[in-house]
Amino acid sequence: MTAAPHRLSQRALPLVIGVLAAYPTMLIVKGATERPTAFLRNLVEGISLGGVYALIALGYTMVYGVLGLINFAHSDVFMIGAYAGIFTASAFGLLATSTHGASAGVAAAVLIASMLTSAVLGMVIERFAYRPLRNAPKLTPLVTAIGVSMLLQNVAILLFTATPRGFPPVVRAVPVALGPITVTNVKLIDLGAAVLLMVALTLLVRHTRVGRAMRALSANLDAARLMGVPTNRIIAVTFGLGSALAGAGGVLFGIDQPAITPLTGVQPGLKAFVAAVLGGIGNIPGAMLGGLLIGLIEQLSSAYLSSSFAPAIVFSILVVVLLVRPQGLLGKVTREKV
Amino acid sequence: MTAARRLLGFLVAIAAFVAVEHLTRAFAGEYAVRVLAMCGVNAMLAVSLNLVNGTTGQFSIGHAGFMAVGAYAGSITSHVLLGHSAPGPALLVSCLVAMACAGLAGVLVGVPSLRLRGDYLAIVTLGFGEIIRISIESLAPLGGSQGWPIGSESIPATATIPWIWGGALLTVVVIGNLTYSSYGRALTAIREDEIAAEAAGIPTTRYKVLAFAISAMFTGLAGSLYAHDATGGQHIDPGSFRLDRSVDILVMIIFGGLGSITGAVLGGVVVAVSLELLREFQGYRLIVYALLMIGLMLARPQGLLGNRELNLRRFLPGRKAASA
Repeated sequence: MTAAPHRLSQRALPLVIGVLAAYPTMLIVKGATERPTAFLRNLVEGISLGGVYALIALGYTMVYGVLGLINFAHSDVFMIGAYAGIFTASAFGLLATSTHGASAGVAAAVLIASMLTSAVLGMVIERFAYRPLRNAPKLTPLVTAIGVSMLLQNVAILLFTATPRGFPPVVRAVPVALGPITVTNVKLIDLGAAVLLMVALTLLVRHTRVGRAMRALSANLDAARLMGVPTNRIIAVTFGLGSALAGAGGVLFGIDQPAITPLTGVQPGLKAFVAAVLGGIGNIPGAMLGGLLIGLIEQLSSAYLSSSFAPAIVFSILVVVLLVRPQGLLGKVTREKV
Repeated sequence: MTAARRLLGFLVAIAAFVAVEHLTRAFAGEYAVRVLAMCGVNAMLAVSLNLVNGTTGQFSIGHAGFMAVGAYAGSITSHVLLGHSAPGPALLVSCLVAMACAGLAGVLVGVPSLRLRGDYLAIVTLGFGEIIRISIESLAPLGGSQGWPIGSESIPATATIPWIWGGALLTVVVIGNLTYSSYGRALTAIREDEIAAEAAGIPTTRYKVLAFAISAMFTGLAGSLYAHDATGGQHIDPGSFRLDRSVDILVMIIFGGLGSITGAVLGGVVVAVSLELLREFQGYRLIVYALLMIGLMLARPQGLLGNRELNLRRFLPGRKAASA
């Protein structure tokens, strides 16, 4: 590494960060001590939001792990997942205007249908937009990813119109007392479902043949192919799994939101991507941790600092973390060799 | 070059400026002028970004932020100068201020972030771009999310075609000369192998920051000219400098061929013109555009020109192609 300017900035960095972080931290601590129950509620809601971000972040990180590609279309797969949820619910006679909630069976059907739709969509995108470019220059698939993202958004505008669509009450919002605080059951269900899906994914990656193949691919694609791993099939499975999680994220996000539009995916997608990088891109537990942190930070900064400035705070924290730990929180240090 | 030739060149430049001004006024309709202006701004943006992403091999997707800095700095300067100065010099000063501010922003962003590599650098530049946009959005004196102008204080519409194309020419000449100078060779060396470049004695961090700052500077120029565009709305708002804008610029340079200056110009022009031609499709416009984008990348992954330059001399008879 280079000499003088580097050392100087490394020495100055913690100081600058400390000074910058002091004031917002003070505000949060002040808010927390003044109204501890509200702070607890914010914590729970932040973690629940973070669970949804983590689900989306997993798709980014898994694809990056095997292909080294930032899948810009992922946020729109998430959006299509949310729409698939709306349409499945209406097929069961559940509309945005309905007052009654759905049975557990219907809710599960909505979740599974949107996961399947997203999985198929993700695999189709991989087959036609990314696979032909497997050996192209590194930035080329990035442009097709941007193209696919644009395509999905505009097709969604054409098919579903740009007017916001209310999400049907698949889960009817009921306040739940949780010790000293009350939160809506939606937040708890979001968190529970997200945790369940993440546990399932972890088990799959750690303990199945497909999971082992995925890990092999992410370690070294060429070596995995030489060892007889069907790389194309495993990459397709990776896209399918990641997209299914995004679809589930779409439904979980939808039941917590007033309405869905064709551009709904953009902001959560961006934050989830930030979460993946924050945790160390390519690293599955990293994406989960990153998602939780981003959800928490966003919730706390919009509650105690400034709601319009909250996204900027999220990005500032990302920048700071990467400057101190360039490989992300849980990422491995890759040493460059000559 | 003798003094006489220099003077001649200067006179020719002024004559060309006046000629283009009158020609566009006489022959091109308002619509055609608007498209030409857009091509010029795109070319500036693409050539600037190409210096970082193409030549130096760093990966920035936050250049919309520098464009925003340039646009706002330029607009504020000409607003201050309004009534104190003739429109021409005022625009010149605004553009210089815009370049200075954007260049400074480039250094401030570049110094910490260029220690990172690849996708991490990309995400940090993205983060800085969004931070710049959100900061402007939450500053009430700058018009917040409604943008500038506030009320009747409009941005003077002084940037006509010769200004915009002059800016594009300046960008191409400066960045072109830089690319083919020893500095440019060092930047290319960094792209090809950073460790080897460092071993060969190139202070990589300093060179990367230099490239980043110059790129941000010309992006700021493009932003200022965009804000003063005589055919545009004379209106800027933070919404026009979202991530989409950075991605658009990235698409232009990959379209044209990463690392090629003429390719970047071509990419900028192709994007502007094709978005106009596709207006016929109305609601399907962006769908067709996206399909074309995917199709072109599948058919020609290296972009239109690859990393070669388009050399006009090749098409002229009786002259030897200059060695680059």
